Amino acid sequence: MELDSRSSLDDDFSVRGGSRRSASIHGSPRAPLEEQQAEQPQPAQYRLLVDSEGKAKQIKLYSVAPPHMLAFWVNAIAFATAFLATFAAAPLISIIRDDLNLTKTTISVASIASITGTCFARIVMGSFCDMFGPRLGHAMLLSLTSAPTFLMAVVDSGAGFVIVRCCIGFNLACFVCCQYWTAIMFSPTVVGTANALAGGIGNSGGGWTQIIMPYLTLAIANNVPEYQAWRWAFFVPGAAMIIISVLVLSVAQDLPDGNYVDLKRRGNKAKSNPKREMWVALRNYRTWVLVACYGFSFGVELTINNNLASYLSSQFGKSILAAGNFTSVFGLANLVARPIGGFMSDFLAKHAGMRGRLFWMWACLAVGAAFCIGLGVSQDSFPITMVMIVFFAFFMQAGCGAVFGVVPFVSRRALGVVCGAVGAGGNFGGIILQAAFFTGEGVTAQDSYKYMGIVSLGVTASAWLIWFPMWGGMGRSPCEDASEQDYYYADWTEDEQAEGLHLAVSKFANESRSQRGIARLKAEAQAQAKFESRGYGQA
Amino acid sequence: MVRALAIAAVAILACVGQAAAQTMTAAPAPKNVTGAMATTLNSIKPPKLAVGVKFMIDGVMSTNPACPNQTASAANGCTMNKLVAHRDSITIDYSILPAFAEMANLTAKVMLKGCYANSSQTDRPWRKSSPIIAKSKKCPFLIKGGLDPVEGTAVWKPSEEVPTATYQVRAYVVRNATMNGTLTATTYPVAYGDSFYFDIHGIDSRPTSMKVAASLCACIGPIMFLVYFSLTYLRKKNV
Repeated sequence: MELDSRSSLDDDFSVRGGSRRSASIHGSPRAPLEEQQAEQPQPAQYRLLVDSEGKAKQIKLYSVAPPHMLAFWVNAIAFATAFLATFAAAPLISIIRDDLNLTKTTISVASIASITGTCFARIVMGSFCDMFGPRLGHAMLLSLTSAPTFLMAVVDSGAGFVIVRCCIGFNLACFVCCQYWTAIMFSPTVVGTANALAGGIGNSGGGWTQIIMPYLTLAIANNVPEYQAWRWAFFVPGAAMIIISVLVLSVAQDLPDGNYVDLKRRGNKAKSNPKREMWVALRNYRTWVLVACYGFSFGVELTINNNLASYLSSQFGKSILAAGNFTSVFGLANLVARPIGGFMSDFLAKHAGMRGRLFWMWACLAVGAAFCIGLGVSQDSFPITMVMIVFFAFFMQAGCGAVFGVVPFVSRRALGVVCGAVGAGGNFGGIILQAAFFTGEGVTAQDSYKYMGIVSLGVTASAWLIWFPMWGGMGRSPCEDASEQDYYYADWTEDEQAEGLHLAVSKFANESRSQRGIARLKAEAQAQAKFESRGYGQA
Repeated sequence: MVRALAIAAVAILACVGQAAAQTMTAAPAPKNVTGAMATTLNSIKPPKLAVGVKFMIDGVMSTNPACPNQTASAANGCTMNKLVAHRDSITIDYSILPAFAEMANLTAKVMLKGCYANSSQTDRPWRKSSPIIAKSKKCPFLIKGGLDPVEGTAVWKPSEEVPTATYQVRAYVVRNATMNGTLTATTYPVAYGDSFYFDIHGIDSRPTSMKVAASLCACIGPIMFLVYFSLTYLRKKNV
């Protein structure tokens, strides 16, 4: 599969190979371009079309060409491994609860714990990526959380189960590394698709684990009692995490032109200011709207991952294998749905600009929430329940993919923090939904799905509030005299602008003009040509 | 793009199809029960069988009787017998109470089942009792079926799958009983009796080899990362 985005605008910026310097987005803004070129090693020969920042404008899924596609695949697999480990316990709950003598409350607390630790980790990981790069972020999370994954095998009480699930859940912060890495490797015109593909492949780990862990456990149970088999099964995700973290460090690189540590040493990467970046991200209301939208879309997905298997088992009498297989449909739909969400986001942005991205995002989330309500309503019919699950999964996950088609444009300076905050919002939403609707015996599971859908429908309507001065929003047109440069340069203080630090994002600001949409850009170009043909604006 | 999506969609459909095939071959759950299967415990009260239990713990016959209360303590003067699954066994004796001697004329068999005590069902919906016997999850362990309806004896050695909990043994008198203990439209309980309570502890699911392996493996990831970080970032900082 090959995706690219070429238009007349790109002719000025399309680069294949090393015909011009592919400077890092964080390159030193003070030295003249010629001096920088004299100091730097020769740029790499890329096998994909790249823009002025060296970011790929194509996505070739069948390729592992370095640096872009190799980074893409390593990134996606690392994220999938994190998901696989975090939700490895979910399909085995019916065995674990008897072995550890758990109660429903303890199981629910453990489910909440598995997505709680990562809330703060995701916010911190944003700044970490800005400082050390996404590669190290992935490796750190996977290698450190491999320890609690192995230790799950020796848990002997409910308290231990909760603590270990909380510790393993920290690795969901790999999501931030994943989205950050694709955002700095791929051009704005395909970033939505790239984010969604990597995120979709990664999230599908939650589906794969519903299949892999039960089969693994039952295979091991041919030789040892079932209560031992589930413990031995946890050695597999633990080992996978170590292997993948070695892979991430050894074969991939952070940026198109190198790793953060090397670029810093060569002076190609300016020092980041974590406090300023945090402030820039959190003072932007768009960050909070996207946090809410993602919280009540991805949060719904996390809740489903934790509860659907046991619901199918208790409501329809499915065996552990059957319930796991049916539940895996939800997680595996990420492979298809999330990329479609990102692809359509990019497609609509090409024609309708950012307003198209926003409308698609809201529409998917609203329809997904409606099918969540339908899941609760169809409690007596298993076939109808499965139909609801399929459509619910598709639209909700497409919406999640579409959210991260908008995230890269909220702030360029604080990209990591925005990614982290929105990602953390997903987990906060999951915690709130799990605690509100799936804890205790007051609400039945069927009613929980209905209420969850209603709440999601309401919260995701906040997408109508998002408005960019240069691109507009769903309910409001853009300002004609607003520019991308004004918007992105505003993240720097006057003192920083006086030093020229803001120029580090000038290329990105220029590339992001594509979010105006082809129709508007053509109209502007025609107006400019007409203006010049009359002799105006010429020296 | 279309080809990739089609491949992914086929893979998902394959998973659904396989799960559907498993579902079709599995025994149906008694969700909506009617007729004889809808027999409730209240309809066959009071208990008409006496059920006694004796325990062989670690090869020695226990002298402690089973406790009439689910939560034994020094205050109520009963020491709960604690058995270990897959090691210890329970000898069960049952007989019809004299007041219900006419039941001996029924065409029926006795079915013995291991049941969770109410204290072990608290906050555990997967063990929950139901007024309708066929829908109840209280007694998931079939000890023996097809026994003489008047009196008899059986031995239960809890298997490896029996979890830690407080238990009792229940004897059902079942019309047209099946040997596997399932209740159908033509096999339904007409009487029952309960034993006193005892504890069973599940097997030790953490052998020493597992503990050693888990401890060693848990150290690999953090040590590997710390070494890499030190060599790459701290060394390069000093260069």
